[in-house]
Amino acid sequence: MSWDYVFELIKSILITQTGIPSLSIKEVVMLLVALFFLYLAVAKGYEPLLLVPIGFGIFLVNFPLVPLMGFTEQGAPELIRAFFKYGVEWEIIPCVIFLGLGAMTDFGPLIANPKTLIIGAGAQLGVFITYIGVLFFGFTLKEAASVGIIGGADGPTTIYLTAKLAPHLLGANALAAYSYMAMVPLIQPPIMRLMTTKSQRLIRMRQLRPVSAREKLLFPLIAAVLIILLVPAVAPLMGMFMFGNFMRESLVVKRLSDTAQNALMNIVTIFLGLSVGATMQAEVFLNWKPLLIFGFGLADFVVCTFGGILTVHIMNLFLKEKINPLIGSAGISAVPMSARVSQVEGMRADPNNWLLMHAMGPNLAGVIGSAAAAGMFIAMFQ
Amino acid sequence: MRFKQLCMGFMVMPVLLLACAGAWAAFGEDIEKPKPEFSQQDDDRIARLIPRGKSTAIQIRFHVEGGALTAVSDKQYAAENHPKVDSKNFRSDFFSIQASAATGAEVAVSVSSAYFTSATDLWGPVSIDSLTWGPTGATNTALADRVNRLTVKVRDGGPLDADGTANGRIEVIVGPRDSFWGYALGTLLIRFFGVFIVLGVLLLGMLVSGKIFQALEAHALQPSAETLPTAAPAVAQPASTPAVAPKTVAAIALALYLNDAETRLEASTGPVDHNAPSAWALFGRGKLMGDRMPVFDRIQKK
Repeated sequence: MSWDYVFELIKSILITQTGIPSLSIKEVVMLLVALFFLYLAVAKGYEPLLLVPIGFGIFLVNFPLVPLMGFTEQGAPELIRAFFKYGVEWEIIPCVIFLGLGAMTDFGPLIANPKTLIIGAGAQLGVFITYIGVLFFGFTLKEAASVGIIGGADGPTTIYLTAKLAPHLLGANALAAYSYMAMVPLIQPPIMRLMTTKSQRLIRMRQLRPVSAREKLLFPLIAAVLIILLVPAVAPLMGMFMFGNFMRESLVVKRLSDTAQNALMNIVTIFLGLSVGATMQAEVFLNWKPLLIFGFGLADFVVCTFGGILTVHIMNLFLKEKINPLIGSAGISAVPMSARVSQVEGMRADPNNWLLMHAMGPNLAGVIGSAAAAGMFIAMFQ
Repeated sequence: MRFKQLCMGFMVMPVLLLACAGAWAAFGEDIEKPKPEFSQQDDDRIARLIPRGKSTAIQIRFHVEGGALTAVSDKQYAAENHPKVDSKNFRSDFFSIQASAATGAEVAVSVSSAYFTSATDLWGPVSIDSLTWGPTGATNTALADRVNRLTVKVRDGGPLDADGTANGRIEVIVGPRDSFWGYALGTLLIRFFGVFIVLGVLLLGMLVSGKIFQALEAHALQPSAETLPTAAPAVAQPASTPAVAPKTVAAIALALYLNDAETRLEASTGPVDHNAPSAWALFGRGKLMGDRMPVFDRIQKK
């Protein structure tokens, strides 16, 4: 055995069995992107439950030659590809998350003041404006719909719709949705102040009526009947959402409800985050489209906030008991962040004005509204 | 400060996006290009494909009257050679339809699908050199089961015949055209108002069910005639609690009302001085506290 042979062997091993020579600039950039999102999650506390697994997913798949998102020679999916295939491509994880969300949700504020449903509908304005906006930039109809839904501020809905219509945009859309949801306290207040006068911010709303346990129990059934009859395409999301809520309100399956709220939700969040992050491989992610998606995602959130507040102003023209327009911004379904923003802004104007429970109404309406918008888009392409 | 940063962001963003707009062609590849599969049914050919902007497959049926349909295939064309033909408007792409007929004869080529609407038109090359593309003058007929049929008359060797010569062989290149922007904007409005309709119906359902539940709860709280006691009702109050005089109740109610009115006034006219309550409010509070005092005055009780 000669030295030449040994060197050739070492060279061959280095090239074919280690990632170092294959590491490209693009992959280094993506590793930095991953570290940035991990920094945002860990140091700044922005949506850590999702940005940590997403960031780590980006981190893992951007090393060369890693057997994570490909297929084996026998055609079996590799580790994260399997999570992605069975969880996201099969549209299971977003629906399971909706189950957990339903089990966590108290619809009391919405049932007590159902008028706020209209605010949830108005706050979908940005979804449709963005849909048209991105079409001008050469996106296809399906891509435009999946980008538009980002403004609904509903992570699982965004993932569900994107996986269905434009799976190649999944990483960018999910990341934009969750990043901007984390930044709701930064994005919304200036728009809220811009669109309301001091006296409007001081409006006090009547205390919500108490909602009986029976009413809460029957709400998921009534809502499911009406929504699924009108938009059958949204049945997987709304069905799971209302099922989760029914378990919660029935009070007889506390163990199941607890599991849906905690253990199950946490498990699927890990797989969802990793899978979504893993779609952001350098060769897919580093082009103009994700940048445009991030740009339009921000505009989407702004227009949705605008739409919610504008809807309250329009409603106030007809209502005897005025609604504080600050709760309009909660029409986007970033639960409960946007409701909290309404509360904080309300207290800035009047420290004794408690808007939180009033804002939860449009907030929950936003969840239903964004799911309805997603259903509309799905139906459009069927 | 944050607001200024956001304003700056909003000013910079459109500029960046406009700058990027020219670059869209870089990623504007036709990722939804239909891939039709053809089959034969009697004398007709059927194309099965997923058109642009759709998730499910559709069927297009090709038929020729006055001649024999010999073949149908998808027509590949170079978009750069036809800059005025926007492929987005042709969601099911172009087809080459070949037929045989008597030399110089006219045949009626029809293309039908449940996917077509009354606004669908049939486009293709309308000059013998195949350079000018435009509407072929097809007639649109609505059939049963929401099927629309587009029929175009083609003469062997005429302007719609791709080979341009009267030789008994006809080749027509056509694509069903629907306005992309018309569809996008139309569906945008319909679906945005659709969200309002869905949530509006839910609102109505909740208002009705809410009224029913409230009535039921109120009814459940009212004691029925059977359960009414014959004697004085046993009030669940501690015996030691002194009865509040009606005057006191009135004063408290009035104080609360005035306080509430003050709040409403504040909402409409701006802040008022909380440290200066009205005389009625002060009287009410004083009376309330005064009536409560004996309860806590243990020494006097003894």
